[in-house]
Amino acid sequence: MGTLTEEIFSHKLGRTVVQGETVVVDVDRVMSHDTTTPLAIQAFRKLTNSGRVFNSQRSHIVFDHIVPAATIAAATLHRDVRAFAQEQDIPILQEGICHQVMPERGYVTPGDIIVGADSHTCTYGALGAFATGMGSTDIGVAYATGRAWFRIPPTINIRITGSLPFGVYAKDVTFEMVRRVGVDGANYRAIEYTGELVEQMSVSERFTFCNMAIEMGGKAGLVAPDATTQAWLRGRVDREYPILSPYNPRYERVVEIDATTLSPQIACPPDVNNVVPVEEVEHVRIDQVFLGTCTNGRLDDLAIAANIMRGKSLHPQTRMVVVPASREIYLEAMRLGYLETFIQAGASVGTPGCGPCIGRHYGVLAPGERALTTMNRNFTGRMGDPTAEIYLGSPATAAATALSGHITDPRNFL
Amino acid sequence: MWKREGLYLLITLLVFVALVALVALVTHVAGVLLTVAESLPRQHHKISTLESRIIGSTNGRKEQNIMGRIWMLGDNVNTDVIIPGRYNVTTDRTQLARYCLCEVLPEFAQQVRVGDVVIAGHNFGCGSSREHAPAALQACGVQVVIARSFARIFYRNAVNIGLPVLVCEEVVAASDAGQEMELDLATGIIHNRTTGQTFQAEPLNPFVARIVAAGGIIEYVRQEGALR
Repeated sequence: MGTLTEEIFSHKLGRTVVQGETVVVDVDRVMSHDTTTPLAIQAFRKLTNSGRVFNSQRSHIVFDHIVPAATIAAATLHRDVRAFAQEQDIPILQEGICHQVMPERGYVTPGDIIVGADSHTCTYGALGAFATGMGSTDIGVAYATGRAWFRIPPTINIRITGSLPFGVYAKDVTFEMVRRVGVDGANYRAIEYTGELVEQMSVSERFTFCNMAIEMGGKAGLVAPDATTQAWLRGRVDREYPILSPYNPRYERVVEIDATTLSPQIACPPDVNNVVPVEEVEHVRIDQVFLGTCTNGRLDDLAIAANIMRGKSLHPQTRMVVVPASREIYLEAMRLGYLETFIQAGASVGTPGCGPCIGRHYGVLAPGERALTTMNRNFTGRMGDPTAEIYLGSPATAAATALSGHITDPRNFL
Repeated sequence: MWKREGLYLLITLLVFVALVALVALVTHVAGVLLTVAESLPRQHHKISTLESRIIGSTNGRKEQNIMGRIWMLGDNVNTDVIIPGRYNVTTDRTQLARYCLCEVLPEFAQQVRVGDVVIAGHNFGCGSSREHAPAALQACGVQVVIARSFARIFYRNAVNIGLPVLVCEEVVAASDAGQEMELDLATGIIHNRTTGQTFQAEPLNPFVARIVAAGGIIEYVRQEGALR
């Protein structure tokens, strides 16, 4: 009996767990990426006598943050991680962002407990798994032992009623959540998304919700698995998995959002809860638009933007970078003509991965420049110079902005 | 007769050679040790010092206190600000130290001294899971971070690598940059030497306290023989 988080841990441990208690569990999967693996290897080497990871089939290393390598330093780290992966029989996945590739590959099933050396590991909760981000040392320990410790968190229930109005998307609803809950309102807590809007949503839209649980400090973001989840997993997963649901849950707090009342939203720099309706910042000139990331780099996101941009050109003073979240999405977007639309409009289309989101690669911002992106963070210095500004919006807002050169209400283009 | 003198001479010569060799060996070994010590990154020394302090304090050795100058930061200091992504493509902690907090306190990396203390507001270390953030602070010589609250992943990372982190609302409100602070890790008692005020930090979760006492999660797992 309990929240989805409590149900998952109780199922795993074979006894009833309650929020507040500290447990050590065998995790189902351990994940790290090109930037966090090097420190995880250091921790792993300090710990293990056998020198082997707990299970090479359940250990996953994804290259996504700086691919292909942009500098000698990055290439050197990649080389060292490759050597470790080879030694441990762990295949390196270089086919997109870890949080897209892990579910696509069928490595995430409902009821799983997954730890990853990246804060947006919470994304997998969209499939009913308990997944959380940790640092490299925790992940090094998990690679060595197959275990991690958790304090069972209290849960905030975000209940979303109504349906999405014209021009409003999952991303806009997510901004409303961060505005209401705050950037640390869910610290040390899990978030469970329920309500009629969530039930109607695709898995991709649920990924957008769960991805940004960490932007409220959330330890995990979860949606209880349903027929939509099972349909998405079909063809990707052939093993049995439990369908767990919250059962008489005791939520610490319930946040009610009526989606019907929302308009397109923008998160202004430098914090994600700095949310305003798009009308309030429409005058702001934008130098670069970036469409992609683990929040909004999926096929439906590219489709929304391509539909707005088809047959049109970028504003002459605005450049645009598009990065599909995975190879699977890239190929599908190519078949459907989305990439051609972007390229014809004047955008650069990049290799699947994190792209400009972390300022280590391409699409870096100059001093004083402004970007409108579909990312999850607008922190100072994240995309380049610390005086550059990052505004966050939906894929539709990004496409409309790319065409007009300033932040634009996408409803004008739909 | 000459045989005996020759023997004495030989023995004297051998003793002399042995002495010279011994002196040379000792000098060499000392030289090597010094070189090794110097070539060790700064933070290795500090980590071990810190570990001994933490372990020492739990063993009731009262002299193991932290003492240093205060650096003040505000709310929601994220890990992108603690160590920007463009500078964390490395595992070299001295590199990380060089750019620590460069976005908000450009003078910090230059002026911070071993033993200094960072005091911050709410949600310190929010954002990315990069362990480079607490590692950069530790490599700078920061001995403890005290905040109104910590983002979860940063908190775990700091505990795991042996950087003490304490929650204390009152000390944040009553401190100013540059003041001198003293802290007893065993009791959580914080004393501002400049103002004379004393504060009590919140106690640690018992499981976290065990990791802190061990000096980090690696040492904890080693001592326990497993994660349990």
